[in-house]
Amino acid sequence: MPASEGHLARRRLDGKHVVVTGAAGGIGSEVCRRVRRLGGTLTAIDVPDRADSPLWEELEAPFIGIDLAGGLDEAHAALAPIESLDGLVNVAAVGPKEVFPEYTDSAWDLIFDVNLRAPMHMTQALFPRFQPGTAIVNFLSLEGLSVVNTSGKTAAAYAASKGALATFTRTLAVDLGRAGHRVNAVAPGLIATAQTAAISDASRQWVIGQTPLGRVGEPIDVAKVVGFLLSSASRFMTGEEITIDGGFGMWLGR
Amino acid sequence: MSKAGGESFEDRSYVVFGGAGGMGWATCARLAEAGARVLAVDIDAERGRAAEAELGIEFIQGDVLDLEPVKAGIEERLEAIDGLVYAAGIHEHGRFPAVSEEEWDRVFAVNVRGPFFLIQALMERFRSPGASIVAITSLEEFIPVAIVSSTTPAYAGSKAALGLASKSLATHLGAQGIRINSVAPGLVRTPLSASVLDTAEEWTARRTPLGRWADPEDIADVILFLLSDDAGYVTGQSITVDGGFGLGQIRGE
Repeated sequence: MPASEGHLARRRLDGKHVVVTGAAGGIGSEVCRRVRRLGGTLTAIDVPDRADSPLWEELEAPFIGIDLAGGLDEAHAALAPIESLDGLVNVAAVGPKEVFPEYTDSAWDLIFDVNLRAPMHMTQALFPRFQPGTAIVNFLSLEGLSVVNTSGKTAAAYAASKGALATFTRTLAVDLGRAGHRVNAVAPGLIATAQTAAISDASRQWVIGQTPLGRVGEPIDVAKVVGFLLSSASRFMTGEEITIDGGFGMWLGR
Repeated sequence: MSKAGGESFEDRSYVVFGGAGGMGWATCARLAEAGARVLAVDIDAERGRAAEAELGIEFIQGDVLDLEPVKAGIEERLEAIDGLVYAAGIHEHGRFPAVSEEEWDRVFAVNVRGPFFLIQALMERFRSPGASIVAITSLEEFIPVAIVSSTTPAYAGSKAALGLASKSLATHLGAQGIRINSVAPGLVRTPLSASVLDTAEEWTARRTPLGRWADPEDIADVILFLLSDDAGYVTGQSITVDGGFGLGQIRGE
């Protein structure tokens, strides 16, 4: 069997160009590094004030600054420099801040604009430049698939936005499948990033105690699964979600 | 070439139970090609020996309904096991309301009881931490499927049971750093599905977003991902590999 057809070759991203949103974040930057390590090239997307990050030089990636809460026309204009792509990873998200009964319309809308509408903007704006067999990976959360309440309050708006993105992922898989493209999602559990550093030790220890693999996740745990979903090793998977949580969310423990 | 994304399967040993069948064979082939040591176990000695010769793997004949000699045969050959793939499975031939109790019991014995006790029997040999177990279930782990005839309740029930037993096992295995997941294939070209393929390929492919049936290698590549360290924080999951067929009632054009 030629090396190019073997399993190990199929797991790589040589010759593929991948667009990553939320590229400056804890998980997003690790996804970018993984794409590069697997032999792919990148366009990194994040909010405009991240333009000066040293990451883009490290990754040898052009950076595009977009306010993802903006409109479809803005997305079209900003994405114009991307000539073609084989992968799109929608990592960018707004995390939970407000809780019931303190939701405001503007806070609710921001969560849905960035977490749900922006992946639609990205997909729709870039669709004409998809190469055959383009793979999209959307970022859900454990909270998009089941109810999570580690700190005493649920995050209903955030969870609802991720649940809606899960349905968007599954339904878009049908439309894009006809064109030979794939749409899948990952659902990380508690991952050690700057964003989750504020979680109390008690909450963290409780999560670890409920996690069969006995630890919180690292960004690389997520990035490796994203790399697989971008690769041709997952060529027959579409509309599927992979939960990356060490088993935390799939059972009810003590 | 860098090993990234390939991980390395070299110096690793895998048991593929049902290794002479379509998806089992493809899994053995992929693992062997990636540099792993592979021991296939199957009830079909003729195809097992063919796999041995053709793929350069090891083979022992074994029946999951008679685990003692299987355990002994595996332990004789492998000191430590980095992964187990359970690829054996059967369905009932009788159709409701003509399914015999014997047939129901046999389906559950091969599809659920067998893998559970096989895993229990091999616990001493799994590398801890680090081993990974993959149970091949079916789209019918989640949703009844009827292609050319009526649905098969024993098969569907057994696959759902295997999927949930795997999740439950994940809580026990996790403490030892051992992962277990299921892969739920949709429609796959195998010797077993050949007759269905003949009569139903066209309409089923039309109703599949990716427009075709899977080849066994499509499934094997996902199994190898779950066996590898790239899936190191993934356990207790069921991964559907069906080209989108199971997403819903999708109308073909």
